[in-house]
Amino acid sequence: MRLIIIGLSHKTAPIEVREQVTIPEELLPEANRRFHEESGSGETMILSTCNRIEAYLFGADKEGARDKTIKFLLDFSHSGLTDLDRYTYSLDGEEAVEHLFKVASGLDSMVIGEAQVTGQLKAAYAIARQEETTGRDLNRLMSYALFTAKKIRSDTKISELPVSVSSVAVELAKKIFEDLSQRKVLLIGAGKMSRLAARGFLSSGIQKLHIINRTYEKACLMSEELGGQVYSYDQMENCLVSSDIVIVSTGAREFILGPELLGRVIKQRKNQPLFIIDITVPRNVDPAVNQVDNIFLYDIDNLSSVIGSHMETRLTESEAAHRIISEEVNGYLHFSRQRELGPLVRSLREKVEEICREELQCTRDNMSEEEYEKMRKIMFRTVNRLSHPLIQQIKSSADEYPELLNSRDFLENLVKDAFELEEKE
Amino acid sequence: MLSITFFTALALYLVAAFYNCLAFIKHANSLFRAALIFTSAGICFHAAHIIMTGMKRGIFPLSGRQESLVFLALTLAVSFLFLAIRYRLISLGVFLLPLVLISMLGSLISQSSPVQDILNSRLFYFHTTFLFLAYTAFLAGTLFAVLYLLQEKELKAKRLRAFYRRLPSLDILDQLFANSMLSGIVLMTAGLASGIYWAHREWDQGWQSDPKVISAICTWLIYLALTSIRTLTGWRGKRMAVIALAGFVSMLLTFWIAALAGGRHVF
Repeated sequence: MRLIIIGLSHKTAPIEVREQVTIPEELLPEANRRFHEESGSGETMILSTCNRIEAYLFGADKEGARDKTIKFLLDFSHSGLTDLDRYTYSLDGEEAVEHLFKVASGLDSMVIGEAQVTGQLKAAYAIARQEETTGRDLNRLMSYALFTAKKIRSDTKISELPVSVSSVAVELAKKIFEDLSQRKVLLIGAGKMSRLAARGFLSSGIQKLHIINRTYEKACLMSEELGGQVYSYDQMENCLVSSDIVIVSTGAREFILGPELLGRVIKQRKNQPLFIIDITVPRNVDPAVNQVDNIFLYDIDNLSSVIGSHMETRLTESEAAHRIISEEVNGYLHFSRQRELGPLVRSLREKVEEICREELQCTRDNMSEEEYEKMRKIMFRTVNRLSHPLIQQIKSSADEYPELLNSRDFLENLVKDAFELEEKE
Repeated sequence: MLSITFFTALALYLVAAFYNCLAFIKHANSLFRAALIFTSAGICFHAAHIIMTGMKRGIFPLSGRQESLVFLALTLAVSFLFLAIRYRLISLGVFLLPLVLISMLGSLISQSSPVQDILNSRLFYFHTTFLFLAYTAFLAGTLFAVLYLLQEKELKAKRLRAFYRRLPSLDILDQLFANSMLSGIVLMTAGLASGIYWAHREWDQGWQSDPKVISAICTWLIYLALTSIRTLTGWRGKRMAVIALAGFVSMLLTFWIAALAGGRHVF
């Protein structure tokens, strides 16, 4: 059976379209159930993330599946889109398998190598299994896809290097302080980026968050949102002394931290390192601060260039990842072809054995028990040796000529017809 | 006197150093494990060599220049193995394993000294063992200071290249540096104290003016200053590295002076 994928992603559809048909997580079970019924396919599954909506089907024809999927997406989301067809892609067979493996390992993601999608795919698969819309083919495919994703994660460095501002900041902090659980973070200003960065640090388990803002009330609001202790603006120097990581993002047009102040701070800190992240434009921290011993200052450009170099590594690593994908796709296709040939091979064998048994039956009366047993063994061995190369040939030609599988019903009938013909004679 | 076990150990270290360099370049843990296994095997042969020589000649392994270099190589190899396992420090081996090899090879060209009767004293054993362990600790500490500088430089320059990913965090390197220097100073104090007590008992007057004694005390003072300054001011990075380097040079001078000026100290 062939895999069919119908979907739209960040590569084909703008956010305005995607957001209209995306399926929220809590509705996914119902969507799976309904789609399974409406599509009329044997096995189905739906993946819905912010960057893609995809339906996976086994046992359907491509054109019918495309129409049904588009209709389902529109119905289910009550969207009035008229041109969803334009944004939708449909893939089948080898192309579809390769696409799914790429999606699973983050090679098709907006940020290449982004690992989040693997988890989302896993969750979507769990829901589909729970709703019993999957079967043998889809289960096997998914285990191959998730295995491939895992293999790529462990064998390449594609997801190892962070590529977002907050994760790069956390990574740099770990290169300075190793263990962040004993470290305090000071947040100066209330910019959106600084909140994101602070969140990154909070989720990596820092000891404490200090918040300072020129407007005290704003700082209090931030503390409600993020947690953390608020200090007034004139307590800045003390706060700098007791913090290890400083995130600066105020609306100020001038430098608020300079080398003189920070030189004093470092002295009071007994030369303990201080990591300062300045994510505002115009900058709020004098670049000369980086000259002070034991201070590490990164502005938004520095962080971006780190991200850029990480991105480059990801791209080089993606070559290795593509190699793994094509290996695994071949492995999967080989395996599933052999499985698909199963019935044909089985019926061939059965037919042959049936003939053996019939022929033996005819001569049974003229032989002793011992002779019969000998005869039986010889016959089965001979017939097996004769049919074995034929079966091997069929199996190996399935890899060479995949189109053979499309005509396997024809082949199966051919075998049956051929033997029946012989019997009649 | 250099046996087949010695050369086996040397060969094993060579292979270990090779694998460690490969692991460093390729950033591969499997190669690093191989390096650790070869180092462990090398250490076994190395220790066997020292014990066998000691038993055959009936002397302590630190009685001559050649023997001391072999012993120094062993302590370096053992500390590499310990730190490498504890902190998964691939980068350490790139510097330490070649040092092991150099001291091994150095022992090949230096002469085995004749056994002196005076050296058959328990105090001598303490004196030399403590001092050699101290030298190893200082050597490792200096190395950590250098690694700290390399990592700090990349972080400051914001060019995260070869060392950034391969070296541990500044925090870990600083701790390792401090611990090495502290244990070094403790061991050296013990070594010097036992040496002075021994000299006081067995030597005639004038040991105070032995050139090696004087330069060793200078070295000790430099390292003492280093640890105290660190505790008092929290200095790290470049400043510490400079003092560590001064201590290291002074340490080398003690050997050089001893070799040049003769005196009671053979090495």
